[in-house]
Amino acid sequence: MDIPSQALLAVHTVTALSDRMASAELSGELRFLTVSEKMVQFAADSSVVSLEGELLTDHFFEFVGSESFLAEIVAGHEALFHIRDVNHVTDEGEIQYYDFLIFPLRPGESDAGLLFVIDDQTENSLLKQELTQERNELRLIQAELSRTNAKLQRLDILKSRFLSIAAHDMRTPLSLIGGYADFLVENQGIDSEIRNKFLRIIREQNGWLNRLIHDMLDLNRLENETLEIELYAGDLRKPVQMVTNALAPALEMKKLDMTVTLPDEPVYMKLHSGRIEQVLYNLVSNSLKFIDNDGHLTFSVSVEGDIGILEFGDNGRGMYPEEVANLFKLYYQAEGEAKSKGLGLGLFIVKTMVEAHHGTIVAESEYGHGTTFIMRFPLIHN
Amino acid sequence: MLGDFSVGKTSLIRRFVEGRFDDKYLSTIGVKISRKQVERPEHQINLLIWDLAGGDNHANKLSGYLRGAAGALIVCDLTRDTTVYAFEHYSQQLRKFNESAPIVMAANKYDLSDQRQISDESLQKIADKLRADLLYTSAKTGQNVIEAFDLLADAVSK
Repeated sequence: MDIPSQALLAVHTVTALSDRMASAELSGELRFLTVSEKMVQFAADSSVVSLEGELLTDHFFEFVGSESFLAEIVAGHEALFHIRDVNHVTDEGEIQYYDFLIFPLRPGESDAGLLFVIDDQTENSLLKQELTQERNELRLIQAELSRTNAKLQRLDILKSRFLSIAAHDMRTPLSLIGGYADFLVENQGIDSEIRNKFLRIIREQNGWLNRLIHDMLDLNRLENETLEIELYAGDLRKPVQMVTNALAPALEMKKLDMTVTLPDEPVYMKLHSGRIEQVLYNLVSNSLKFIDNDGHLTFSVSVEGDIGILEFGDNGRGMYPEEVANLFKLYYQAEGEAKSKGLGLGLFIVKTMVEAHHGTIVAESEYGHGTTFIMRFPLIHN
Repeated sequence: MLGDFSVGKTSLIRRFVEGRFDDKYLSTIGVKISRKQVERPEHQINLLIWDLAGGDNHANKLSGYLRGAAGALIVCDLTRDTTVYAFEHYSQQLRKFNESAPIVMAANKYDLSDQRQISDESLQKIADKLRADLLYTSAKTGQNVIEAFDLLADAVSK
């Protein structure tokens, strides 16, 4: 076999052969015999001055573990050992690339040995590196694009489902509002107690529609990154009082019980009262899907050091661990026994709003034992 | 060190040998050899770590690199599901030269948990099939990096 004409360096490496070499068992050692001056710079130990007489594998780790294959080459059973593009970093930090080639020299004879050639491939391999880099980066972009594409397709399906449920959810309160309004117009002399009852239902359904539309608008703003929430110093108890007072009549009509526990002292934090109310309405709305008549809701505010804790709980059917894990994801809907399908929007907005208050939210739930949402917010002093 | 391109092989070695991490991605061409001594109570293990180009699957090219290998750390990227195919491919190539070569599987980029695409079950199934140890690693945070190399060092020095 010819030695490549562009060979940069060449050196004989001759083994002390034994009679058993023909069977390709290396009983001798591969030591350098004749070494070109430049070969030294490729040795693993940069302080080495001369390689002559040194063991090949002490200075070129590339051949560690391959001694028996080298013996096969010495014996003439193998023609070549080729390690491509061995990276070599210069003192200046530049990468150079070399091919290591080992050829048989007078194979099978008593003075058989090896010819070790180091072939400079830097120019070609730098180009190859650039091409590989570009190819790999393109492949990564391609993989990212397919991931995004799959995600978009999934979102598209979810959005279609969302629109269909939203239309359905809006139709129900609109029908109720329309029905009761028609009845009141056509029966103007109706008993005032009944009239008030119907008006409360209309107001309640209108409130529900309003909140739904707000949530949808918020989602749109979140997607366009245009939702801005201005926080100001306020008492966390206030929005809780607002919501629980407003909910009391409706809960009573549904035969649901409610416990509210608030501290005597104000709990000051940076907040947007309307958004905290939205959080609570959405949590209540979610609970109502899983709670039976005679169910129980709890609201509480407490303080632990510099943290204000807002808890909301119910004694509904609770959730399975996999439901809890996905609870705050956009468009996620718990499967199974919910009394009505939601949009998968409310709890996503809850989490977003809590985080906009620099807070955290966790859900603790066990199937059959209700659910408690625990929100923690940083407090401010004075 | 084996695995598909951009799974973090070079980063894992850099973390293990130099104790640092660099976010920049630079494709490896050919092979870069690093050395690291692993201390044991009664002896030292000299690890010669071959950092091989990822995605370079030609058996002919690989033979020069794998011929002297005592064992392998095969790496996948938890955020790219296609990178798990490397486990079977490279373990087959490696065991052509060394039938009993120990293999440690590193499921890398564990820190990117929100982008994860490969399940624990599928990884464990491959690990059982290849008789390999499986570790979840992160070159970025250093999680399980020393442990993965230690595991391999102990296995090859047995």
